[in-house]
Amino acid sequence: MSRTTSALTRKALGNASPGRFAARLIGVRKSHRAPGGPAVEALRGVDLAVPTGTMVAVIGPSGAGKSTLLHCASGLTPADSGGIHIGETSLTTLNERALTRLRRDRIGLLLPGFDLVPALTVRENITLPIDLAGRGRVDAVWSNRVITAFGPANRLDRRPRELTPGERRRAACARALIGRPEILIADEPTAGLDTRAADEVLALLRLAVSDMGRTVLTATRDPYVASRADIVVFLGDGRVLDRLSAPDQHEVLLRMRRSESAAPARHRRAER
Amino acid sequence: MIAPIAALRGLRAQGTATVSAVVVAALTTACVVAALAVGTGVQRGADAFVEKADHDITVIVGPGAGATPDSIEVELARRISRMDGVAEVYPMVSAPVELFDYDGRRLGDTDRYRDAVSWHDRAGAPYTFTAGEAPERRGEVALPSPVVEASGVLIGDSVLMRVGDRENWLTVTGSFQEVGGTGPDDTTGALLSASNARNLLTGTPTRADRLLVAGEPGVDERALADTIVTGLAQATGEPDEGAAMAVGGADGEVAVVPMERLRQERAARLGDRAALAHTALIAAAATALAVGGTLLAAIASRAAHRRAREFALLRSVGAGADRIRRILLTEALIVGSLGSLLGVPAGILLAGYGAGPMEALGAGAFAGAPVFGPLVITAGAMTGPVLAAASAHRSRRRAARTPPVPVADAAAVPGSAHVNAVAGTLLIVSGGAAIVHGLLGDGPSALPAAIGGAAAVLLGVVVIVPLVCAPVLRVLFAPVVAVTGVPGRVARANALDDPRRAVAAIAALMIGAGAVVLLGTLDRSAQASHADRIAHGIGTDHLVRSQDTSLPLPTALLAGIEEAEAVDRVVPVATTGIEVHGEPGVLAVADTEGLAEALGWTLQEGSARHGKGEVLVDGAVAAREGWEVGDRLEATFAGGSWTELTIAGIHRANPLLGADYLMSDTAFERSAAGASEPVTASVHVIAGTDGAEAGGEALAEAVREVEGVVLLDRDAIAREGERWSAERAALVRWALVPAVALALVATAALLSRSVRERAGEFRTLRAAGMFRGQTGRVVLLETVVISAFGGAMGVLTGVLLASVVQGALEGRGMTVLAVPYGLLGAVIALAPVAGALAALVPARDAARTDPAPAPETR
Repeated sequence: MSRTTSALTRKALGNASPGRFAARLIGVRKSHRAPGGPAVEALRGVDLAVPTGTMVAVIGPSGAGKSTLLHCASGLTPADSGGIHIGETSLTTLNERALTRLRRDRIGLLLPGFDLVPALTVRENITLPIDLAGRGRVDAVWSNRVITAFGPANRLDRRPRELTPGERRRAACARALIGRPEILIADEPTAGLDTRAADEVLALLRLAVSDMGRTVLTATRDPYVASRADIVVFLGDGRVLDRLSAPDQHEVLLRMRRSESAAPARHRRAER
Repeated sequence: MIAPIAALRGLRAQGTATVSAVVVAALTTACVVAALAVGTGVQRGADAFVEKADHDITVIVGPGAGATPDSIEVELARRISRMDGVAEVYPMVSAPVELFDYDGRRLGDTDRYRDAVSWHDRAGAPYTFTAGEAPERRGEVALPSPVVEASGVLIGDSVLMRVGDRENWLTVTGSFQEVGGTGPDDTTGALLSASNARNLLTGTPTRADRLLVAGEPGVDERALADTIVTGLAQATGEPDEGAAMAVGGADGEVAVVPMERLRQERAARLGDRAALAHTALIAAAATALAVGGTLLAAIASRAAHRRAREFALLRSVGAGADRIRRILLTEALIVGSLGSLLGVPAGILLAGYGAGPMEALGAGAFAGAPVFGPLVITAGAMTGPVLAAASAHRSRRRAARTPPVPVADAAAVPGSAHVNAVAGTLLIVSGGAAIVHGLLGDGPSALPAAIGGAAAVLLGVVVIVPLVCAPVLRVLFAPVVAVTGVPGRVARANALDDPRRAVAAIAALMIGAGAVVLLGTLDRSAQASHADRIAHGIGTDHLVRSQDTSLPLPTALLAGIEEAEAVDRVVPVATTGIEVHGEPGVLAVADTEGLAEALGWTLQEGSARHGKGEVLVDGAVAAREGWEVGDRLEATFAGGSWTELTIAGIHRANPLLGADYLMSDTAFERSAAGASEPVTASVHVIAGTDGAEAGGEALAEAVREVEGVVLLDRDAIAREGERWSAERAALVRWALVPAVALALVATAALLSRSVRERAGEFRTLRAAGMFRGQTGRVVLLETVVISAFGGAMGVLTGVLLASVVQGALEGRGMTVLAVPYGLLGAVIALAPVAGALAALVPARDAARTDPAPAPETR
């Protein structure tokens, strides 16, 4: 994507009607500095729009900046520069407390590695965001629907350690959706799951979009997972390299290989 | 070689757990080293004092019972110095003084007078000059080092000395450390040159309080005393009566006392003080070991729990149970050795601060420098490894049982709840049996059995706590959850989900709080027992006593007291030194009927009637030594020869009597031929029907003109007990410092590690929308409730153990169990506060948890 095209996209994103996009990232830059090491630019001016009611998958090799992109989009990590919007709210203007409230009320997060609190029961884990919000306006119909659809129904009062990895991920999905968020952000939602459990989770994410009207932004390395999305964004070396609508698995794989071969030598060295 | 390498890697991987264990081992080792070093120093200091202080003095010549204090003419010193066998005579003067700096601020203690003493440059002088010089001229004074350090007075400054209504400005020439004295009461407040002291302290330069007579090398003390008596009698023309009367302090112008008797009394009194200090130090070391051991066991248990997968993997690739045990044992030994390596120097530093507590315990005056001998260093070097290895024993066994299959979750490793239940029940039952044996039984094993049983019950409670932990925590958390909502609920879930972490903190705080309550209750019970004795047990309305207990009360004063208005009965108590089986003790010579009326003295067993060759023994001494009525004791009276005494009776311990053995006048006269006459230094006065007040006025009139004599009424006697109580309170404070410090440090370390381990959990909570404050509150609430539980358990066990110990000590004077409800309330209130303080940093760390994982950890 040329510099001119990127600038045009950026302008279009900035002027876009907020209702059309659940999330917009405009020229987002982010670098990390490991202790004692040089700064590494994880995102180099990423522009991304996530249309409302769609599932957008960000795909790329390890180190491409996928997780950083999702962390910035969800307000977990502040961007160095650029604009991030959830609906019409600009994240760059929010303080820590407001970001926490935003995550609690408007974003569902599904992050790898620390999906459930071990000490709480599955039910307590699922209802955590609405309990934290102390909402008297709990939508019982929605809650029941989410729990019925996603929760491991017969194990709601068990501890997470008693669940299979697939059941844990389902419960984490349920928790991400229980607060009726505008957007569900899922980082590697199928990582570490067997095929069947991965299929179940993907089906649930699609269900969240198609039946529940949510928006899903996910990151993955798996072309199969990406092929289940409505839009695939190819990320490499901290930049958006390509986009694909209505993807199929073969096309995703081809584009991915093409993107990887086009990635700068520096990135490939880093990969090695 | 594989075990050490694996152990080192394991320790490195555990990070904060290793650091926590090393810190706990180091602190425990430091406490043990400091306690042993200071204790040895105290013992050696006491021994050295008994051996060296006044070692150059052979005989003391003081005012006889028939004279008044400071009645010794200095001329007498010149006459004695010319006698055969006398090398030197030092006229001593002392008087209570008050000292003020240039700005009028009082120096030293504000609640009591200290004595200014004349300084003589002699080998046995119990002073060491730490700065400046000794006072040699008129207008010069040397002050105690602690007073100089506390007040900021410099050498060369002027200070005002007030003696009665006389005031003099003096120049400070130096500071000294006293190696003599028997406690705070007897510590010297100032040193003056000999002539200056006579001028300023007595107002009569030709008079002295007493003469210290140094004999020539090899001279026999008794023979020299006889020589002096004979010489003085010849000079006064009263050869017969003088010789018979003067030695030992019977009626006469002067009392000539061989040093031997004084040394025996000193040894007995200092022995008591040293024993008290030693007990405090042993209690401190034992508490530190108990708390440190519990914490190390908790850390080891938790680490083993977390490493279940690692052990399963090792087992699956062929490591046997023995190898797992060896790895963990090696880890424990490395941790313990590192702890000892750090703890021994820390203990050496800590021991440097041991003077404070020793001063508070009345042992400061003779406490030598801490002794870091091979025994102390070896004990310190062994403490860490042995404690760490022993504490991790159960964790090793548990880890060795890990099945060689992948463990789905750490919780799947076989638990040991049933072992806890059985072990805890066994400990409580056997401890209870030992307590019953101790309370009902008699003899030397009774007290150790009761206390050992109490310790077993305490340990049993610690072992069984995990089983009762969950229901109690649910109850305690209920109001917290109701008030705080989600943070409280997450805190409760955490506390219940990981009982090991909760139990570790509960046990640490329980032991700390239990020790506070136990010692506090015993202290209050001792006070209450003393007050009860004063209120109900004794008939004494007034006590008249010599300031210097080595000198007798004047006979004229005794006669005056007996004839005073409203005095119904007078009970004189004479004391002397005695050695029984080589151990120095104090023998009181008094009428037992009078003592029963005056001091509430009661017989425990045997008969109060005793005659030649028979003695009554204090119940505490008899219990300690395992003596019974009819036993024969090898005794040596001060100034007398070896004799054999039979125990006619054992009386209940009576602290007001202040003696280990008791004989009637008749029995003493018939049994202790040739011994030094006991000194009647105190008289108990029982007022007649006119009441104590009238008697007090009459006595005050009789005592007013006599220097060196104090008159105490019942309130003052009670206050003396309170002063002792203050010393005990100091003991309590200092004995508890290591326990409380260890408990807090370890709780903070456990929490800190727990927060690190739960970083993922906190990230999840933060990502799910929990505010920073709420995240911090999760840690804080968890700790506060757990601490409250630990504090409550500590209070319960502390009171239980205190009641057991009080029951065991009932026959030794602790007749009342007084529960300090204020202290209990304070412990219950402060335990959560202490927990909250320990949790401040971990809670802050939890609150600062970044909801996004660090890039390098993804």
